[in-house]
Amino acid sequence: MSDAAQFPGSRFMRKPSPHGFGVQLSMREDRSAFACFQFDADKEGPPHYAHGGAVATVLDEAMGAAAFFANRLGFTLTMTVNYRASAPLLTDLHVLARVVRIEGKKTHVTAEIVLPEDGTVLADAVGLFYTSEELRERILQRYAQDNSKDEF
Amino acid sequence: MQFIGSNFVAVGFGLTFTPTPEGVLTAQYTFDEGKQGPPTIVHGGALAAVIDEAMTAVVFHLDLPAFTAKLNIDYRAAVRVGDTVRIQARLDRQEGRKLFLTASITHLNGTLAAEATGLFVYTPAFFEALKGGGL
Repeated sequence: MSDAAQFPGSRFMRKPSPHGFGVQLSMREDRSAFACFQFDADKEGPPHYAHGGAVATVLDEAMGAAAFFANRLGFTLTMTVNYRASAPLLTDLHVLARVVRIEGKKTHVTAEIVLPEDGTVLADAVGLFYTSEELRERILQRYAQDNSKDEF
Repeated sequence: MQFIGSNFVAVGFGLTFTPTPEGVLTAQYTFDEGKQGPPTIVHGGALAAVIDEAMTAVVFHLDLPAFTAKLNIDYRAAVRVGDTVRIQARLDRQEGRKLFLTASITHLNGTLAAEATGLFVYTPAFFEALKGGGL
């Protein structure tokens, strides 16, 4: 199992607003991934609401983090996002993701974005990730080189 | 109804789509390192964003303003930071208020990088209420 309680994350997600999302995923006790975040005004799709692609980005990142916390870091093969209600901008939201099944090199992950005040699910996703020990090592090695260049 | 693109993609990505006479929306685009997911590779969410935007551009181009209800993306080959790709989207069929769309992202050598299906729901009332504010 991975010892890191924080997902190294993507540049797109960690980079601060306006170009990135400024979101950092953390591991909870059950090894699921969690973050409290807001969509800023630059993530707008329809007026006043987050873009479907911004929603998909946060869900994809959270699923990647959940895979990482289960020692199954890899690449997204497929992702399906269900948009259940519009995600408001500039509002505290929670994203949660967890690994639900492992089959050989396939890791099945689910994620959802909820309104913390009443638990309304705004969007949920299922993802299939391609994972292997060799790929995990290769990605982590690249992270080690890449992070030394990060200046934000 | 004019679609000038979302803030997120038009401003954040600097991307707009061009319609073809067949009703397909298309764009050529190069992802910068700000859209990086795993090191050297474009974030799956950034690909999802341009696909969602392309599909939205299609429904507005056809004067069928709609929201994304479901988006499925199959990632076939990695897109690396700096790669130039072609994005295409089209309306496949319509059943009442349901609009079924398909989209693809291909490398310039023809390799399929991602393909997607989208379900959009026609919601003219919401967008009508915004008229004048632009979208």
